[in-house]
Amino acid sequence: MSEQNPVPDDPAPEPPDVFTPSDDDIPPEGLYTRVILWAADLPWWAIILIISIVVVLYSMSTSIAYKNVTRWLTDDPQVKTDDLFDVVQVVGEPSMITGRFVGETGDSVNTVINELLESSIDSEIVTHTGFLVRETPATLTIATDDGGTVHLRKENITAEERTGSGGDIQITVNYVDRVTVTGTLVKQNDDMMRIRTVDEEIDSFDPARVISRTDNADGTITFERDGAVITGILSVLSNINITIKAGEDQTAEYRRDTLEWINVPTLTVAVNADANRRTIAPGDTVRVAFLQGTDIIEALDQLDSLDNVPVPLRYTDGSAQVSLLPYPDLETALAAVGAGEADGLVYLDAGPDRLAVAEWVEANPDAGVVMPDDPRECNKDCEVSFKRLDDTITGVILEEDADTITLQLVAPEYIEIDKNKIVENKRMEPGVCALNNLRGCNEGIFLTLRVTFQAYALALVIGLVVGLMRVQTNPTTIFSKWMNTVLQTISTLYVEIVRGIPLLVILLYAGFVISPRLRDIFGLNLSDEQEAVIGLAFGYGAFIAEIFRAGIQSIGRGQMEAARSLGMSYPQAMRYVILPQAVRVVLPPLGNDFIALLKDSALISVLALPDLLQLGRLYVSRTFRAFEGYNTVAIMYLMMTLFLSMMVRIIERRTRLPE
Amino acid sequence: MSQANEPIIQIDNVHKRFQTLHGTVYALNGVSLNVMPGEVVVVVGPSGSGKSTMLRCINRLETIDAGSITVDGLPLRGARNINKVRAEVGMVFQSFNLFPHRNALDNIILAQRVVRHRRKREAVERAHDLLAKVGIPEKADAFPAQLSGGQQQRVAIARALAMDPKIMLFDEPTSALDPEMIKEVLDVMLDLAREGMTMVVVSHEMGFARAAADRAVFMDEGRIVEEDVPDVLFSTPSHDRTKLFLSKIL
Ligand SMILES: Nc1ncnc2c1ncn2[C@@H]1O[C@H](COP(=O)(O)OP(=O)(O)OP(=O)(O)O)[C@@H](O)[C@H]1O
Ligand SMILES: [Mg+2]
Repeated sequence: MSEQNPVPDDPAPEPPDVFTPSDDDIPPEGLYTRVILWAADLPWWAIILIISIVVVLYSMSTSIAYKNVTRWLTDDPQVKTDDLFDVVQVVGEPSMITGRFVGETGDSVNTVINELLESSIDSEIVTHTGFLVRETPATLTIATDDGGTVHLRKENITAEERTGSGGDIQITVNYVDRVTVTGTLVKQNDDMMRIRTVDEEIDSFDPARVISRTDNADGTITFERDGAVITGILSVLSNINITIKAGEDQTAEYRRDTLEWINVPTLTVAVNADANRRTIAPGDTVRVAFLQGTDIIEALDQLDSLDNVPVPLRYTDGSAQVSLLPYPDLETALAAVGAGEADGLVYLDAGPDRLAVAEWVEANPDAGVVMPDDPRECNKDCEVSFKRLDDTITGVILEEDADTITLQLVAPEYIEIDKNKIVENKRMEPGVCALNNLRGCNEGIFLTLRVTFQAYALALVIGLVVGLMRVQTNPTTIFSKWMNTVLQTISTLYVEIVRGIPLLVILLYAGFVISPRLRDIFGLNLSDEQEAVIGLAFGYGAFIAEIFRAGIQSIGRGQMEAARSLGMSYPQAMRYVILPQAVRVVLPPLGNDFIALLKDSALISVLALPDLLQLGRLYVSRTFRAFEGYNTVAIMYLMMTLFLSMMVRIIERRTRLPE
Repeated sequence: MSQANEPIIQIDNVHKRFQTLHGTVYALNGVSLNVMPGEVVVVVGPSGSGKSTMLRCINRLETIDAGSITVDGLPLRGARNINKVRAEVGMVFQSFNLFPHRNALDNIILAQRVVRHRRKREAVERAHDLLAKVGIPEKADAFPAQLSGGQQQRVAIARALAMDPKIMLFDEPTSALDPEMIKEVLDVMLDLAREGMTMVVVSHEMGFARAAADRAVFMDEGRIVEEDVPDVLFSTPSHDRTKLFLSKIL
């Protein structure tokens, strides 16, 4: 008779244990020997892998380029931040007023409520005392002792007590005055929140610019400064303002009367007075003078874009021969033009000398040089510089040394609110990404990890439910037989359809088909991230369902029968007997799927999400450092997956049943 | 519910057939059997004669196609709370079917907690008592894979007894065991029989049948061919088929 074993055979036989010297037969060794022994026992591919990882990580950690791309891919985490959350909180402070009820009027409730909203938002938490004047269905108006009136919304009143009658009612109410606090949460504990309501402003500048300094009575210092020189790309130049591009899509506007000087590249053309009247035939030679060291190519380009080119220069780019004549300075160049040595001068300057030609021509009317056109200022997309007039600045000195003075212009302001007094939490969004505020880290590797974990959790739920639906039960009634068929059909359809469609297509469906429909029909607004999570989970749910089904079916029928014969219901038997055993069977394939999901999460970049891959591509397209960019992306994925497969092994080992 | 003079199990003209890929198998063809409270019935018969199927019908692991089964006064067909009936009927399987992910103690505790809603301490106490009763108090922490077949079967018996069943069904409890282990299991069953437990035992252990059983039943081709006191049935069977069968196994 052979012994029948009810334990399902372990699907993954334990791999031969890594060599561990046991205390019995080997004398104790030093750490060094043990490490060598351990290393010697590793397979060759593991040694190569470890060495190359060490080499790669070392060279990456010492390279500035890799440092930059790593920062970029990890959402530029700060070490520490105060900006924990951006918050808007409504705080209610119960306070009490006493007064006299004067009478009732049919005043419009709406106007009173509007007035109330205005006065309560951004107001301080105050206590009023006074007399009650008016009552409407929604509000009370009370004449306070100090002669003013307050309007209270009845919903804010927590208790009220009236004495007297007729037109002379004394009233005492407790009410909640609401204050909206907007700011950045910098600290919180169980009962307090510290919110920065005013951001600090700091300016630092070169001590060389200081003209005078005055100490003020309030401890601040006022500097009179020499205006700063500002350089930028011109976007609008008018008689009143100059607008330059300051950032990628930001502009800064300055009034021209606050500027000491302004240098805009200016093109000046001067020609020989005789040549100006001559017509130029094809084949003629046009001699164009220019100053050595100026950018004649740029100047000619600009000349080309003029509509009204002076006659001798008109053919420079056409069929006439052009000869370019460099001159060392303006004086000789203009003299040469006047003497007919050159037909004309093309002069482009962005510096203070930009009007020098015009001045010379004006000063030497008889030199035989004329200016057919006024000097033309560039009016868009060229580099300009200007200097602001002297300015003053007042603040508290934070730091002062030979190179910089740093002033605090606006000190940060904080408000501490009692958590119990918060009546409404209007907004709470994670602030800056930092080691002490990982909630604020939303991009790159963090997004990849978060989407993966969320999608996997959801996929596990879907997989378990669908997997259970697919398992054949032993139906006892007509109804349960019918239910069984319906559930099995649904789950089989789901698994077959989803497994047959590329995950990328499912993601695009989630993002561009399902989500807009949900918005239109149910008004449900899904964020891009939620779409990605749902798409990934839906796609992986099918695979996980199959894993669960196989796992459950690998547990012998006898287990279910034994559980049922003890009086357990089907769900109880599943929960306590079948699933705990099935989980051990499905753990390795589930771990593999998790790693696969982590890698497939790279597909979510099609939904314009800044995940690891997407950020890597952005970095490469900006810096053209494809080598460093994609290397780092690959290494990061690799480190995550290696870590995960290690975790999966450990969990597998931990949950193994004793033999 | 049931009086002492009324059968605790009434099987009346039960038919059961299985649809398989190769056609219909008629496992039970009009089986009728009454078991009185405290009675020990041994069922013998050739392989495929429907012994297991009959047992499994008694706690409705299989549904029946015709006839009726009443357990402890409750008709099984359409019984709403079948789990309540099952909790009153303990079953011991040929292949033990212990829960491999739980140790011996937890195997015995689980259903007490989940089905009987006993408090933890009470369930643990009961489990220890039962392990002592089946003779392996020291194996409480062992997992099924660490136990011998006989020990596993004794844990399985303890597990069924923990529910305080009124009836125990045994489906060839010793036929997967090595000979030296058979005795330890049979001893436990003999004790149970002496304590007055109602038992239906499918087994070909003649020694046990003679010592413990009030009645022996011979089944063939889904029918009960004859029944009698074990000594009589085994030594002087009246049917040819019984004679043929007994001559093969003795
Ligand atoms: N789930 C099932 N599906 C199809 N046929 C079944 C099923 N269970 C039992 N049978 C058939 O019913 C008949 C009776 O089976 P049963 O297991 O009751 O026999 P048994 O008397 O217990 O035999 P053994 O002594 O070999 O255990 C057999 O022909 C068997 O093949
Ligand atoms: Mg059988």
